Amino acid sequence: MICMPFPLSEAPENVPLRIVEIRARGRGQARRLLEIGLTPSAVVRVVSKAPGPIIVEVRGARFALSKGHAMRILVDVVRE
Amino acid sequence: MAGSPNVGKSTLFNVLTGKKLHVGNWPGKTIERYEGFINFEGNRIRVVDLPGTYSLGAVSDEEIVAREFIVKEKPDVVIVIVNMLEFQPSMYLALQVLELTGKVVIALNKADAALKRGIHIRASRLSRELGVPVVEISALKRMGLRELVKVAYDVARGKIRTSPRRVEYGAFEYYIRDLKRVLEDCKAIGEYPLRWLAIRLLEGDRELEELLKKRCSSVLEDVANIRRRVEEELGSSPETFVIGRRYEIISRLYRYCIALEEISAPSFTEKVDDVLLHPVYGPLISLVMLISTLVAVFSVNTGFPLNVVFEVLGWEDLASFVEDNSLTGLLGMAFDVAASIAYSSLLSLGAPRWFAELVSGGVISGVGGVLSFFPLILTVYIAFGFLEDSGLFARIAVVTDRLARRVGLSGKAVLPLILGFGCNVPSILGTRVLEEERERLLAMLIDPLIPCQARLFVILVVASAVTHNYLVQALFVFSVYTVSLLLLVAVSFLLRASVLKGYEPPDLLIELPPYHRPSFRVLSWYAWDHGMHFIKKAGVVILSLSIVMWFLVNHGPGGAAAPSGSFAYFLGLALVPLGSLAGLGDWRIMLAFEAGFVAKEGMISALMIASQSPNSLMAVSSVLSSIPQAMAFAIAAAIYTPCIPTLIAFYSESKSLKLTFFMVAYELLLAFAAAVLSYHFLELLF
Repeated sequence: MICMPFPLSEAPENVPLRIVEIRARGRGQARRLLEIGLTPSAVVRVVSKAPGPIIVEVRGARFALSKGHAMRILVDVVRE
Repeated sequence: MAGSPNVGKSTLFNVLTGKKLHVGNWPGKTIERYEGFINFEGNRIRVVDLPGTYSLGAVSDEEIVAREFIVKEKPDVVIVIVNMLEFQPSMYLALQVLELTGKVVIALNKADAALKRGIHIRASRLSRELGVPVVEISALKRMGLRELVKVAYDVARGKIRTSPRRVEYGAFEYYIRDLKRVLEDCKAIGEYPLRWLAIRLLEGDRELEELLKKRCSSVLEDVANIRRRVEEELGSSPETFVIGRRYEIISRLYRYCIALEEISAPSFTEKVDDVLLHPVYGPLISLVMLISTLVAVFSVNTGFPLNVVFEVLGWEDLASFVEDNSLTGLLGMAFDVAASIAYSSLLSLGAPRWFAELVSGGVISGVGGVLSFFPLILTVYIAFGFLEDSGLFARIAVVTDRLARRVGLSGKAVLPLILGFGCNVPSILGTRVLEEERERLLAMLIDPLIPCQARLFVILVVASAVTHNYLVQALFVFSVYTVSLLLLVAVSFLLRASVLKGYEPPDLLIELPPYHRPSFRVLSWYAWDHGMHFIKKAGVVILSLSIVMWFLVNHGPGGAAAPSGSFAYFLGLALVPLGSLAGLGDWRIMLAFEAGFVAKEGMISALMIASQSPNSLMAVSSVLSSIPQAMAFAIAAAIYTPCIPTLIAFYSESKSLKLTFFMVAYELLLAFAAAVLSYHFLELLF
């Protein structure tokens, strides 16, 4: 079964996810996401999907991202 | 000292340097530069606090300032503070610094909290891996500080030799080498380390590209070519590759040097966040927090709304006690006393009357005017600092983000703007937290529409003069605020449709640090420093303008006159036809508006002088006889041009005279239109 990576904005809560790609909208945007540790193959977890910004946990720190950013981060579920 | 936000850098800086100096701004930017001194073993060590950033890229002014300092001013040693509780993201900056200079000491901060959480770090291992000394500290508990300073000092004077481990980029090294070769021919960029420069250019760096365009523009083409090759041959953009590689190293360091005990219970932060970030409870609690902050600030400064509460409860004495003993009340009293003492003593010393009046009425009262809003600024800064430092600011930003977007801003702008209810000066200065320039501009432009406490004071006096019924008074005040805020939304909409066309509020990206109990000492120091800095910068201007205002109100073409016959009076007369369109055709009312330019509270004292009434309520009733009139006056007072200190703050942040004039103009027009419309509308109703 082949699974396509999906945007972080559609990810379920509390499931370990691996980052596949960050779609850049311009030069600055992708960089900010990368610099806080959202790099390809990093494992992240959505802590909260309440309406509004999504809270993710990455490398031990928590960040809030608005939907715009979350739509640009493509992830895949971590398979053991 | 370098470090990302939330690593505890300000606490460490504050604890290490006994004497703190705010030495102005970094050249060409609106970021403040802080320096301090440590006395160590008979040596005086100068410490420069670099702005907190996640990296040394060139996305924000802070990052540029930080890296320019390291490259151009070549510090003897850089202490990079890493947060043990959030090791990986805060380590990123450390790696960046290490690529710029080898004279580095890593300070692992929050060692106390880490221990409690069961986080154990092998500092010696980390030190070996990085090639630089690593010291565990707790700035809050003052642990390890002496060792940190000693090690830093030893690195600075060369007693400890460092050999920073070079970050190897694998396949990417090939491209770095290519670009280095091209760069070697460009002699003009000598100060930057060659390898670092090559990597940064391939990552993409606007500042450096600008520099190259000026000096060796042919190199830019080579950079673009190599970047293209990286995309084709390695399959991802250079920055993805480079930043990814750095984090691989950081991950490895983490696994190799840090051991975690099993933590069974969710941390305090997680438990609180479950409530605070809840879709329903979150906004409610944020609202409560914001309102209580404002109430606390207001009450300390002006007694409101505590005095209203006491009056409603029938405790009149307590109400007046709170008012008189509020900070503003006390300061006002002190200056009144000083002014009368000066006046009588000068006269008794034989000084001419005009001089005694100048000193007491112009200078002392002017100084009093400047200093009277100092407690306002101070308390707002303390409140702001508390919310920021504790981590609550981030949560408020998250919870209010959606609402803020409707007004064209992101959640980060909410708190600075809300501060405007207290005082517009720290509010405008607080918009610095907004990194995106156009968002900051929008926030600054609509900020003065938020009625500050001074304007509230005026509105309250008008409300109490117009009616004795508390409910009607409350309704009156409420309507004025509603009108102002509706106008704020409308103006934001108009600005985004015209001047800021094409602008979208930036996507939110904000760290949610673990909750932290701020140190009151650090908070009050920063608040005091900000307040003093502003006073120093703006004080002279405000004082001189107050003296000018005093002169205009007390002197006319025929010599001393007060107030009818003064220059201000004649200007007021000239404005009467305009004012009558809004039912405010009285020179005394116009005089009040003139006085309000310097400080809004001055409007009431101007009315008292002009109508020669002993108290504020009688002064207001003598010029405003109907509700439509009162409302028009209050609305205009709430919206029209902000006070001089706010204008100064606006100018210093926007650095544009054009924008400042634009803001003044649009507010004047808006106030006029709103007053006219509300007057006629209410006239129809009543």
